[in-house]
Amino acid sequence: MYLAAVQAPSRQSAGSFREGAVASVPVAIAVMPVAMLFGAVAVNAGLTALDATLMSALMFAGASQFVAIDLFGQAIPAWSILLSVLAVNFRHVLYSAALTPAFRPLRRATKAGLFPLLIDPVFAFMEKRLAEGRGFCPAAYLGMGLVLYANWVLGSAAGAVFGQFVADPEALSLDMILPIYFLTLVVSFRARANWGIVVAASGTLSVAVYHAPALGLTFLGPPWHITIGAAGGILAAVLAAARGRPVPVDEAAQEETFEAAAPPREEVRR
Amino acid sequence: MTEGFLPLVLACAALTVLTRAGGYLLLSRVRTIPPRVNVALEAVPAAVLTTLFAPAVLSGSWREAAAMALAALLALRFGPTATILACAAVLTALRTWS
Repeated sequence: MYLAAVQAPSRQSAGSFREGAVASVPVAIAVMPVAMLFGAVAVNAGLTALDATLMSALMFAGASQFVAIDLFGQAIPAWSILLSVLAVNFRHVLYSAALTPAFRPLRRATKAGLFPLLIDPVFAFMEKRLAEGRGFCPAAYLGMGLVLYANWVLGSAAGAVFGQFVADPEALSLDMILPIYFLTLVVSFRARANWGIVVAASGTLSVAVYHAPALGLTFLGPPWHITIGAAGGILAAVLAAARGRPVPVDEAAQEETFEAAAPPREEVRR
Repeated sequence: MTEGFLPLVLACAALTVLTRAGGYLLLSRVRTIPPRVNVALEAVPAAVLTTLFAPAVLSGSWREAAAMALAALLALRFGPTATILACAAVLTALRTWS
């Protein structure tokens, strides 16, 4: 149904769909444990298995889903959760910008079907195809996107169902999985310019703001540690950076891809 | 469904699709990114994600801090899944026996 709506099926597009599906297998195997972890952590954070599965089906956005359930569990206001989700997903803007020439000739319905599946490995896959001169192919894009989508939703559901049987989450250290996961993502960005300055600035500021109410500054504290800490880190990067030339959008997107936040970088690099 | 969760998820989903289509919608106007804006954009993920784990390092006991330190070391060499499983195992052991 989905494929038919997006592109008139033909023998050639069936072959391309299969090519995308096959290329997604190593990524799917690597992402499956992360999807199950998401389901288990979501249930541990007080959500139902239905919540977790529905979230994966509607968002299909690894790292930012972890961020959202973490903050939802801490009763942080919705605007702050949305801001954090936007920040973590912002790299996708660069992906669709970089693929603009490829998207432009497609029909509007096709584009509407493709955009929601524009995740890190799909972008990397299409970039590679374009670099090899094989052109942009909606069927191959869909082949990879839909397999990874099904993988993500089913993995989340399985993890959530399994997570319900964990009687004492703290005994399995499930309560610390989110901070550890975010830490590993930050470490995976370490090749970026100004990384140390950014991490030092936002780390220090966020801890300070988080504990500020104990020092009498009651107007601070969560969720301001996210907003103020992140703003401080970004400002530090801008202040530390040398003046440069304007950067073409597709170059900026490539800088982002191969270390992207979700799924984890070693899986995208294959 | 958990109360109040569905509206949040719908908003998050809309936002996510918007970022995935956003570059295409914007690019008819912009071809290059000013250098300072590019630096800022590149810093966004590390800046945000750091604020999400930093308070946790100091909020627990020494056991949680030790597990986070171990995670930072392991993440230099291994992927997230292996790092998380190893650190969760170590933290569970520390909580049980010390």
